[in-house]
Amino acid sequence: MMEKYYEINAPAVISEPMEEELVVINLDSGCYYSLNKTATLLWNQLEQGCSINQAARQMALFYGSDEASVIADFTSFIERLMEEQLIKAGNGDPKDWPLSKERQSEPYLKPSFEKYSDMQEMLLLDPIHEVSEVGWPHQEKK
Amino acid sequence: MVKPDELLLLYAILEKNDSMALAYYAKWTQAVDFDNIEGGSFRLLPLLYKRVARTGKSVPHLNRLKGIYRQSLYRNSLLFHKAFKMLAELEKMGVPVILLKGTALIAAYYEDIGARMMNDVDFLVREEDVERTLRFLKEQGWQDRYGLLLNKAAKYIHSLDLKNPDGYELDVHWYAFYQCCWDGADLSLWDRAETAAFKGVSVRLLSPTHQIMHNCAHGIRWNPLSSIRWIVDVLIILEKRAASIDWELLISEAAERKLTVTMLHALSFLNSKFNAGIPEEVLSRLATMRKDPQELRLFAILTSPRRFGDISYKWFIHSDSMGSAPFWEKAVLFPDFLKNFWELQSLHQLPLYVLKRIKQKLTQRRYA
Repeated sequence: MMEKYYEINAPAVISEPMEEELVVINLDSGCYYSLNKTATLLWNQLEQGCSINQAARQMALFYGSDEASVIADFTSFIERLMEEQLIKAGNGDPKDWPLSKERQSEPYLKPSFEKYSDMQEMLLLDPIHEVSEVGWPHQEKK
Repeated sequence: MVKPDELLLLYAILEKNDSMALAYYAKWTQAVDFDNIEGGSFRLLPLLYKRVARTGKSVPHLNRLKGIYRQSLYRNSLLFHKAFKMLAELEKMGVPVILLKGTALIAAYYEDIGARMMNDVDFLVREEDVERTLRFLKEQGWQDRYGLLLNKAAKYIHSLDLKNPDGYELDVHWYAFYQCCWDGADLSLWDRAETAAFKGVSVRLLSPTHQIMHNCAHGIRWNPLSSIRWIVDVLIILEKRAASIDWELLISEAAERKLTVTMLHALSFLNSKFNAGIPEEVLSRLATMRKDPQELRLFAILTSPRRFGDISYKWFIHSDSMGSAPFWEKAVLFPDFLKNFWELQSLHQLPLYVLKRIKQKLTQRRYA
């Protein structure tokens, strides 16, 4: 099977790691994304030039999970990233082995992101008084 | 100059030792009401988050601080993106720009786009490029906040705030220092400017020596929002580029620019409260230099609370430009000065325009 490679849609898309979360911003649309841990690891793998199959193989080893189901998860997640124009097709050139080869004790979670698209609302949202316990951009439930 | 709770906040941010930083943080949270943090302190919360998060400890309000950092990251990223496109166009037109204030500090010193809150992007253009810069920005939809947009560089002001329809703000400077608006005032800034790469873009910045002077001169001004940010800004420049500071240049330019009082005041404060490591010889030389009476008067005006906006500053400029003319003559001509300053067509427009500015300032203050 032909390997598929991707790259981050820079400079319109930027990402900033924050502890176990990755914040991704599409500067053209103003959309803000918060990636979960698996999605963050996958994002790093794509930045390093891994194909879907290479990334899934590493991730399956990392979590001790089934490679075929990880490939299926990654394939559909990458489609979503493409739809959001956060990544684009690229040329593969793996630079590093981004994941530790040691097995993780935590369970594998499907890659996912939360999306916030109302730019004006996000800019005006008071980050002290109008947010939930987890902080901006999570709005307090009224 | 700095309130006790602000000092605790600054120590929490700047302290190198983790447990000491957390101790200052705990004292600060006891000293303030987290739901009603003063605007000047609020602007430092992204930096506070970074410092506290680095300790790896869970502390009260951590998630809210993290959210404030996220919002700052988001807001600044959009602002940089918008502004850098514009600045790249200016460079293509042959208009070089130097980044100033927060934008420059983020690019060269904080190296973290969310660490320092910004309201606008400040940049300097050469005096001869002001007209075409403003013309270009006007074509791109950037408007003067007061709806006037100057067509020519005003003689007495150093910068102009512009806003676009999406609410982004630019601050175009043609003189870097508001105290130094004369022909050729900034030639040495351009001569010594540095370049740096930030997020894949090459940017031009003031030399570290000029950066310190600029941040001290702006920071020490009285501001309705406590302007304690300049303290962290100058300390980070000193920390990262200590070996590159040309103290001789700072002393000589402080004299030329009539900024000896300002520099002495700011640098002495940093040494006494933060052990900033500024050579004592620099302070004693600044202290013994002759102080120009005009500089002392301007320093007093700029560091005192301004109940009537910048009107005392404008009076100072007007009065200074009329030299030894009698007071009554200066007073009679002051409305005319304001009319020209704000580029109004006639004196009749003045009262309404002043009211409009006051209303705008009050609104800004409420939401700042």
